[in-house]
Amino acid sequence: MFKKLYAFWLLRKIQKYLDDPDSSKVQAKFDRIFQISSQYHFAYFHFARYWAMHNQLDQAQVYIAKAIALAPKNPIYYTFLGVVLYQQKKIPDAITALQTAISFDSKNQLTQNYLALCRLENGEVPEFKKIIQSVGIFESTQLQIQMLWALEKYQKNIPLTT
Amino acid sequence: MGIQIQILVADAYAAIEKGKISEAIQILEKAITATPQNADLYAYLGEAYFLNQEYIHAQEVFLKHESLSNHKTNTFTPYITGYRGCILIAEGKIAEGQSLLEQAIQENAQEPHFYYSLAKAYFLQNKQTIAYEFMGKIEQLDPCFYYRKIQQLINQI
Repeated sequence: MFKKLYAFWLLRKIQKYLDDPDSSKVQAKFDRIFQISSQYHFAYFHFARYWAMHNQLDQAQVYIAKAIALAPKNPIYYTFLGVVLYQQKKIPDAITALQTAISFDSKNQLTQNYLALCRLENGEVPEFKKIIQSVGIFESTQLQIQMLWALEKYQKNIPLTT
Repeated sequence: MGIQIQILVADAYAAIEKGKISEAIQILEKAITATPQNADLYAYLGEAYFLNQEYIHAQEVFLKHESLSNHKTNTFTPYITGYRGCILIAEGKIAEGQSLLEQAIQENAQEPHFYYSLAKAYFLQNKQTIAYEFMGKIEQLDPCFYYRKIQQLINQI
């Protein structure tokens, strides 16, 4: 119990290092948490976020997979995995991850928006529109920019996976 | 500008705010019918035509504005340059459009559409980092711009 609390405390302390591009320093800090509490899935999630923030999507995928292995019913982790896979343009895998997230929490607007984006990338425009009309557009700069570019590319007939 | 015309211009921009661009065009055309020698009105109408994606009409009224202003630089000039840049990018003339937009921004024309078109130009050239920088400027000028633009693009597909 105390180990988990200590790991939680360490994780809170790490938050201020998430902007640090020196991954070895951040890795060492996370490794310390994993040593204290190897089952602490939230820490794996945060480390995955760190890698995604620094555009290391393969690493992000590795750590979010670890978080999911420890907490297989957490919709946030599947959403995050879906977003990472979307950014890697692995659209069918992203759809699977996002649909799993939705099976646990169908009301998450962010998850639904990314699923809509994947549908658009697949050229499934009616599905894209149906989702957006049903849930609305999520207030996230990153997501809205991705949606704008996907729509612009679709209109210009540019292959969406470029 | 007479008070009646000022009211019409205010009504036109209120219509633009509500997304009723065609209505704004009608109002501005009415204002021009009343005072056809008012150069400013052609600049406003050009902007409305641009927003309605009527690019040929926009170019025509921008020329009319310039001819009525005796081709002298005025407060509208950088904005007209910017809209011309946006139109060129919409037509796929990326380098020419980019050059006009950069000129407009350098001349302090602060308009979200200019940053959006410039970001689009860089995005189409796969220069994502610069594209994101320009997108960030849009958010400072108009936090709802992305939302409205997404809705507009969705309605077009």
